[in-house]
Amino acid sequence: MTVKILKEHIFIVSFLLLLSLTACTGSSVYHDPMMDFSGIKSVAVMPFENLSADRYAGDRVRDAFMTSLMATGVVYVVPPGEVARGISRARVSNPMALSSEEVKQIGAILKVDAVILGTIREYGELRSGSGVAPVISLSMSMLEVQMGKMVWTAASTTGGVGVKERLFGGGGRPMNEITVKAINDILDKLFM
Amino acid sequence: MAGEIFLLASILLMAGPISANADGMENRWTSKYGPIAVLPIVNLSGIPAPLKEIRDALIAELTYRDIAVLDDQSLETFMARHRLRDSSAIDNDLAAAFHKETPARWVLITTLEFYRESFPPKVALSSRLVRAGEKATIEWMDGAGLQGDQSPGFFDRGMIRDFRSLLTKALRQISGSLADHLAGFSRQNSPVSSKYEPKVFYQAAAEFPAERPMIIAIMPFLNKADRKYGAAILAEHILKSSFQSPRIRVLEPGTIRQALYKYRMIMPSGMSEADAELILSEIPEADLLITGIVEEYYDSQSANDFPRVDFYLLAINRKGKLVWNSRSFNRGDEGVWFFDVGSVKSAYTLTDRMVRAAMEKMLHPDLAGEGRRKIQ
Repeated sequence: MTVKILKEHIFIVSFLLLLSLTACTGSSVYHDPMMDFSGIKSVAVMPFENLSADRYAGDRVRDAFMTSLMATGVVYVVPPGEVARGISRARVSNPMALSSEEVKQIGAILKVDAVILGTIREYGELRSGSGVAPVISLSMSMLEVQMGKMVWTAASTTGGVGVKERLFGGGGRPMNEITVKAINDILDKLFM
Repeated sequence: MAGEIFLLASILLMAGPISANADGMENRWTSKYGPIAVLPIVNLSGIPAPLKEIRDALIAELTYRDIAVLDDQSLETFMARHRLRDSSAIDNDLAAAFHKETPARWVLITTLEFYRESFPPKVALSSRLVRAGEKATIEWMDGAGLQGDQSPGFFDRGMIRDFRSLLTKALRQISGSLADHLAGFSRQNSPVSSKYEPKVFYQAAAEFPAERPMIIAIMPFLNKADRKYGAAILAEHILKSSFQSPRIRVLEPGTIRQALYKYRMIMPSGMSEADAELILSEIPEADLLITGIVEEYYDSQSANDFPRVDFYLLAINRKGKLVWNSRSFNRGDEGVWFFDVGSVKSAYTLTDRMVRAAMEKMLHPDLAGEGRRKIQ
């Protein structure tokens, strides 16, 4: 009888753990083992590609990322107006997907050591059953300007409908808070 | 006997400055300094508003406080002669022309940020006094943002249901602050709660000297918010907060606009280093250029709604480098647990606190590195 109750408890706990895993942060990361990241003192963050339904998501996340990256104090982030001038002067047609040549060209114009590209895969409210919660999914990559090759890439997904949202509703954390959380996760992966 | 003398002395001490203020104000302002030209109200509310009525009410409040106002006929003639249509700022040329061609020695620029007559009524206004003369300089700036149900009190005794009463209260606050300034009294802002401080910030070391006031120029902000004129409203708050800080001397936006017009500068993606250099060549006294991005500026639309504000503040030094970058976002119902106690009902008040907190943080000399994220 006791064994049966114990099994039932284990089943319930396992089920809840599985449920909570559906809303936790997921990630992947790549660092070029040959790259000396301490040599990167200034970066230019290009406009992010936006694959979400929110038309301002790219701009919003880029602004938040630039501020958080600069707040680390490790690198200088070129102001967005200066990046726009660099893109215009390099006559880049699609600043969200740069070729190696374009990366070198922008690097020379803006006098930066690296260029960061980003993609917003999801940004907004996610509905699952009766639960609704904001979710953000983004990926970023860094290209050094000497060779124009990728030296770092990372992705992060934060938010979504978890156990709390399913059981109690409430709508999850505000969008700007989970954006900061996702960006911090990405930055952890950059400086790990 | 000693007690009576002490009482008499106390009464005299209390009465002295008040009577001097009431007498002195009229002499100082109507005879010595000349009247104030009250420019037409700038409408940033995004909806049609009774601007003339508001201006008339403002003039009535100023007149009640014995502050002389330039007559409408002279002002209209001057505005027509100089083709002055945008009354949101005045440049050096206009300031000099006001001084030369009219008896006005000051120009009052007033902005309407929010206006709603339906319940709960709401109004947000800010005014600044600019000296007319060779150089347009800001002499005073203050504002008021009120909502009818902000402080209902017991049995709704503090509720203001009529828009006209609310407007009068707001204008009385503004004109009272102006009269106090003219009489030589200064008002101190109460400290801002830490919850309004920027959530993330970067400060370059040794860029903000504590020994002298920083001279700043406020550049146009980028508006990514749904609210029309969100950028102009935030810039107005930065201007007010900067003026009220003893550690900042802020330049009249009209002088910066003059430089932007001269080079026909449009900055749709923000300021570049080249833009900064060009502007700073026109305004060599400025230490910093302040700009930013407004991501959200949402004002509460009903009694149970709360405002949300989200913005970035950037400071660029004379070399065109970013020396401050911060992000602030808050909601009016943050940290509210019981019966709306501590809630902020208007975006004006929320923005005012956030901007003050951000500016305080920016000017703090020992923060380089503190706002940096801890790296594992």
